[in-house]
Amino acid sequence: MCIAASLSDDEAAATLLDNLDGEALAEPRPLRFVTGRRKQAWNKNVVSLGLASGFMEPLESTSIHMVQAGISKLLALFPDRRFAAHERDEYNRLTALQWEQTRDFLICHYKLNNRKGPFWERCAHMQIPESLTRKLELFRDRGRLFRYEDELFSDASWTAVMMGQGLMPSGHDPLADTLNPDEIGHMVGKMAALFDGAARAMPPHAEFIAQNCAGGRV
Amino acid sequence: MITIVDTGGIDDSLGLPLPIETTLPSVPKFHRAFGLDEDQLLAKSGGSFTLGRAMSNWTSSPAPSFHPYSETGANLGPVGFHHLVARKRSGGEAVNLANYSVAALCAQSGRFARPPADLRSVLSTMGYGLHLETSSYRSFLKEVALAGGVRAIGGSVADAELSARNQIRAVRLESGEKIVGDLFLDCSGPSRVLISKLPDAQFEDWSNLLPCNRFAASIRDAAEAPLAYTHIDATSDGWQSFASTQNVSAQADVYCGDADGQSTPFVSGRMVRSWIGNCVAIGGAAAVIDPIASTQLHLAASSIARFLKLLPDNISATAEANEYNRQFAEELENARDYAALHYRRNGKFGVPFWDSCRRKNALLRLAHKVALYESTGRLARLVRRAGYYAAALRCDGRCDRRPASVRFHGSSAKHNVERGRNAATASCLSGTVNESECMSDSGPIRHIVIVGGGTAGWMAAAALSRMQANGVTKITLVESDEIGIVGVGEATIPPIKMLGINENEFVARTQGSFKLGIEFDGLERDGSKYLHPFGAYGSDINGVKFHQIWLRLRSLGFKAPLADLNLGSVAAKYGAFDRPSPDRRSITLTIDYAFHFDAGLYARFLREYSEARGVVRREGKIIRVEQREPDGFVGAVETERGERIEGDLFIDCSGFRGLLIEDTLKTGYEDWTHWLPCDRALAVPSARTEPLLPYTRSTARSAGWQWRIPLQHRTGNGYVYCSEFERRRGGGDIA
Repeated sequence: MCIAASLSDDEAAATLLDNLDGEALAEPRPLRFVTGRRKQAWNKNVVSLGLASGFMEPLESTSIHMVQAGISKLLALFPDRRFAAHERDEYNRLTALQWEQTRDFLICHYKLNNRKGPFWERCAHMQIPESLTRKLELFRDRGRLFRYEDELFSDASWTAVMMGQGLMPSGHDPLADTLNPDEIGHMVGKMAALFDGAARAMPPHAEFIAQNCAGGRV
Repeated sequence: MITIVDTGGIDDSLGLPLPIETTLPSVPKFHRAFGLDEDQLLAKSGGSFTLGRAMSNWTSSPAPSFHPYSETGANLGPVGFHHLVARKRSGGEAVNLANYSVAALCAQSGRFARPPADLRSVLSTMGYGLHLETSSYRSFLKEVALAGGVRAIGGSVADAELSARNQIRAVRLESGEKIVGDLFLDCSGPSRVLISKLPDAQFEDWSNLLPCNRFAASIRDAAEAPLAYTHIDATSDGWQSFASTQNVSAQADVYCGDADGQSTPFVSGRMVRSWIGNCVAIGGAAAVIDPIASTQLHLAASSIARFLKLLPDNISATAEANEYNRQFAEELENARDYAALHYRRNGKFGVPFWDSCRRKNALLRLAHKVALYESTGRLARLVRRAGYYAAALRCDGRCDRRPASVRFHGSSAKHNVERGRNAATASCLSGTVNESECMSDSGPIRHIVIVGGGTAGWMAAAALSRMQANGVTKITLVESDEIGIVGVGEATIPPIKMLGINENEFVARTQGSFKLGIEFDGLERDGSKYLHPFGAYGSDINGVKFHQIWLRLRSLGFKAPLADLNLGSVAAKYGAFDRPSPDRRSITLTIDYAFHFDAGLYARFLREYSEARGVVRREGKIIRVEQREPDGFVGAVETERGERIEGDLFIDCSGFRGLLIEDTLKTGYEDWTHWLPCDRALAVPSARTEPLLPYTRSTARSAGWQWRIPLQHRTGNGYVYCSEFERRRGGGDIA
């Protein structure tokens, strides 16, 4: 997998090494890839998992989940030596759907950006899949969100990223107008105070680990 | 303001004018969601309860089968109950499913109670539908609507007045009265008085799948207490249903035949789009589905619920309409397929009408579902109500072909390994599965070969190791020390399951930490920063999604950021972490978390786990892959040490190259670079000097983004970028 470094890799290494938390503990390890997926994750008597089944960048840490989802689908459709076509087809259908849903969520991070510079500007102007266009349109208008069959990312995830990337809905669900604004204002204010209190009562992350699952020195 | 035009006449607004509507358990739920009190509704309308459908004469067997509105049995771990039953039956044991269903047992003995809220009670597995006398149910709803301020006027619709953009501007009644509106619901049944006037209206005929076309019904005073189930009897050319309420009992006949002067004709089918412009068709105006599966009221109620979720505030809401039509199509096709299954899979051999139904080609998605069930008893996950399907698929009286391959640990599994070879090959010959890939060789997988020992390979080995408990299957993992672990990251999202591994042990062994979300720094624009948390925001109020409530408050000047209404975000702000409390009332339940970990340590951990469970590890680079004649399946792999490893099933975890899936099988790759343009990454560990944060950080760079993952012993760093733009910046590629 290791390929001779080009100047662009050197430039990239400089970008990376200039922005480390502490001293580097090894040489930067390069990886080249083409984002996309294997057309059939299961072909004949071979099931591909991990990078062999495709690659999506780790922006939302989905790689391990995709491996695990593949394994659990394989367990649910585990073949015998006949390798019946419909078991394979169902595996491939569900896998394709899951890859596409995850892909759309990742594209959303790039499409919705207001950064300057040629790379980000090109991303902001790119064509996107129809499934994502539909999702963005529904949200842009009145914040509508629907979670489809087996979708990995929740409404909260989509909300966080779409709003975080600057897509604030221009309206809201007319049903929200049926609630008394003073009452909901009061409830939501109370909720925020409760959350703040609960979070302050939690131990610092490092302390929680020291008490429960410290790994020791390596 | 809402005005309803009551057109009078026979009420076929739901499709077929059944004197008693029998409903699925979803309808009581809709009632609750719409704020209708069930006791009051039943008292006023004389309705009663139904616990399921008794199906008689659908097979040559005289005993009726019962399709209960409750769970049947209970799953054992990942193994569905219908698999367990199939296994028992394959051992020659007679199993009556009805004995495993609370609803069936209650229905037989004429008892009923609402399921309790306590989920530990076996009675909580029970669901129920309703028997509603259509006319009194309508009167009840009308009373509620009028009390809520709806205006009702009587009259027939003469015409609709369209705008230049084909929106309905007004309806004109026979009386000459004109009613202007923004939004029109066509609830006129199959006559479709409004939607059929729109130029885009298009009806799709489904009578090839649902062949019945005549309907007759009769109603009389009830002679006895109502039965707590619906009875559906197959006749020579269709079916009859019997249902009763507190006051009346009714019979409905649905069949396939010519005009006979005593029956009403109908056609199963749907409007291709039931929301067009500012007109939404609900009920029979949107679709008529043969009501064998009691779906009429369900489809109308769920359409109304869906419409409320997408309620537009202006009349050019095309995004809402498209979404509505898409979701409705999905639901409708499921309902159609389920109804069609009763015809396609009937057991009335030797009766001409039913024989012809069995021979008819089903739609692809149904054929697929049936094939999957026939050969393995598995149900496509597309179908939520797996239990109903399992019941209906069995209505031809035949046995499931074979039990699923998933087995239990322990010795008791052994005697079940042998499967009926005849049954297995029969499904190959039946025509539903006839691809060349159906090999003559049957029986369980003997050898699983996993190629590649990175995180993916060892995760597969660990998870599949349980398959060896059948006493037949062996697992070998081949890895080359040359190929290091690349690519697979060091962080997860919440649904990672721990294979029964103790979470604290996993975190300790992998120098891991906890992850409440991902912070995106500068990804929107320079200086912007937000956290994508894993848990939910706030909590919904009266069925209104929380973010909608927040949007409303925001429009009124409310200042609190949405992030303050997410416990994970607030905890991340303080650098704090705690697991959710086991107390169900605690607000900490809204926390959801994942992990950061060292991928190398994780692979080592999984390797120990797998080897302790009998997975064999072989070292060596694979230099040759053998394909079998004539099907091209992979037969064996050979390592550079000359070791040849045969297998039935190969798991390709060889990395991006895809040694088996691509190099050997030439599967093909779908390139997404035009959407996700980054093509290179660099990863490097560094010392950790900053505090241990409970989240991942992603920071935008000019040609990509950089990650920072906090671990106990170090920080994981990486840069993902688009080489084309990094090169432009750097000034040329000399590679």
